[in-house]
Amino acid sequence: MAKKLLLPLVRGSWGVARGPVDGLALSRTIAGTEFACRSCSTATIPSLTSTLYPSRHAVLQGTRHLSTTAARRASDNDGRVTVWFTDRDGDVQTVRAKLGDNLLEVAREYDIDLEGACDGTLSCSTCHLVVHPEWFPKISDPITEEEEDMLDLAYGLTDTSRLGCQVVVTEDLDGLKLTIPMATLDAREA
Amino acid sequence: MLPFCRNPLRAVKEFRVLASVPSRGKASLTPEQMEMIRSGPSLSEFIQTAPLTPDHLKRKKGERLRLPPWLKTDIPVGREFHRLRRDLRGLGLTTVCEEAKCPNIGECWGGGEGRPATATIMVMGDQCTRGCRFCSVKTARSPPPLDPAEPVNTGMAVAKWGVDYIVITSVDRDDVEDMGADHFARTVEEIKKRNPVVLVEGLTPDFQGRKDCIARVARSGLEVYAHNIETVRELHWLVRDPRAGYRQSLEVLEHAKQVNPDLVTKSSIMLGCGETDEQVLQTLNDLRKSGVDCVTLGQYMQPTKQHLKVKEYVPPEKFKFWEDVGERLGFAYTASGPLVRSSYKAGEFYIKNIVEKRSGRRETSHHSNLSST
Repeated sequence: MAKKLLLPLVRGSWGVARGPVDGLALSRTIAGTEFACRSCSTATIPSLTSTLYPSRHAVLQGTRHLSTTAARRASDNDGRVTVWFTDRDGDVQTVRAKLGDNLLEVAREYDIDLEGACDGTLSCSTCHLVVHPEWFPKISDPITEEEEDMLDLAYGLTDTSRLGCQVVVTEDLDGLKLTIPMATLDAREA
Repeated sequence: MLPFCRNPLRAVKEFRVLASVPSRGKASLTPEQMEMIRSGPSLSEFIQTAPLTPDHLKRKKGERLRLPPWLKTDIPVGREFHRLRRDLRGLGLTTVCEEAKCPNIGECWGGGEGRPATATIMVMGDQCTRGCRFCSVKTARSPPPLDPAEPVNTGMAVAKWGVDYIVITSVDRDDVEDMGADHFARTVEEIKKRNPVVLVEGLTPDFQGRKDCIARVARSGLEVYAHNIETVRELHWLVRDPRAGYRQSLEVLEHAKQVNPDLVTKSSIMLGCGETDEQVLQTLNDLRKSGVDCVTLGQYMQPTKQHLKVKEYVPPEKFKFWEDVGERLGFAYTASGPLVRSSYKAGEFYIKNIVEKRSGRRETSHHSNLSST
């Protein structure tokens, strides 16, 4: 069971770390800004020390940083990538999502408030997620007609909406940003 | 570690002597010590159940609420329970009790105290075409076709149980041409055919608001037409399937009454999804304005991990408060309690009401209130 580090939620910041604790979450919460390694352009640097000293991180990563075109995998440490969920209260939760899980399973693992009434069988729209426009094209699972039919019913439908149960976590989705939609009273007068 | 030896028990004894631990061959306490233990405090005096504070009842971010003591029920056991289950399986019938994981299943199916065992049969299969966030009934895009033998089988089961009040409910079947209205109505007719005296309550889906479907069921011979509004208007987007609707559900109840004014109409609200008191009051008012006679209020309980988390466990005193509100608003009957569900003890309440009316006693102020609203 992944350890949960309960840090005070700060609205607008990058929120609470869930899952295996690493320096990433700590550094973000403490400093409140995003750290990147310029060599490997990874948005996350896995240790507090390396965060404060990016060049040290490059050295530690060794040969991988010698060439900027060298393949680096964000999931190398633990077979997981980082995914950001903005929940219905507007709070952002960072999680390490396991490669191969679909987003509904990821939400369930981290107790995020995303429901899956039909258990991922494309029969409802309860796992409706709004994908950040920048990330929408990076999802390799194509939208099927069935998914579109279900999405059509959902509240708060956008051009970058997906059903969480249909999106599988891959390497390319490291840093994926999602919002769990909520509706207002007038969303549908029925 | 003990060295290897041929008699391990003896080795243990010797070890205990070495370690100054008393051997357990006979009691090592003096009679005085034993008396002191016997007459002294017991374990339960050291365990203190902390009183429930509001912190324990309202969910905070990242927390999971624990079930409060008033919601704990017994595991269903007993001959009646198993007999009922055998009957149901034998006839290929489904119940909402099982599919929606009702906490009262043991109590209703077990019967007792002059109360016959009863269940709320769910017709049209166990797969619903809608996915509501509060309901654990299976959801499928195209469930298997309707079983044509189901109305007859249901009639047979109900006749066999010898109940005088039965609730029939169903899943949503948006895939069927008439949403299953005819199937539902025929089930009611089959029950009545075998036992004209049994009181039937139909807890129907919204049939997408289609008036012809609602009318078909409203005229099928049932006494009570129930349709659950489930939650306040403001939370409909979260709690119910998008195809359901607040206004739509009110219209179902209105139309049923219009088609058959002799019907008793009934609805239910779940508390604990995050609604405010004002919203609940508004919903009760709207139900009363739509001519609804009976209302029930119960605590929402998360059926599985896939479903909506409970926002708040509403204490029994609050449920009593809503019962009083219901009475004051003029409902013929308000059933309100954490474990109360739409069909919970439905027969007893209804029959009690009828009996009292017939004997001339005006314990409920239903009629006088109706004339004033």
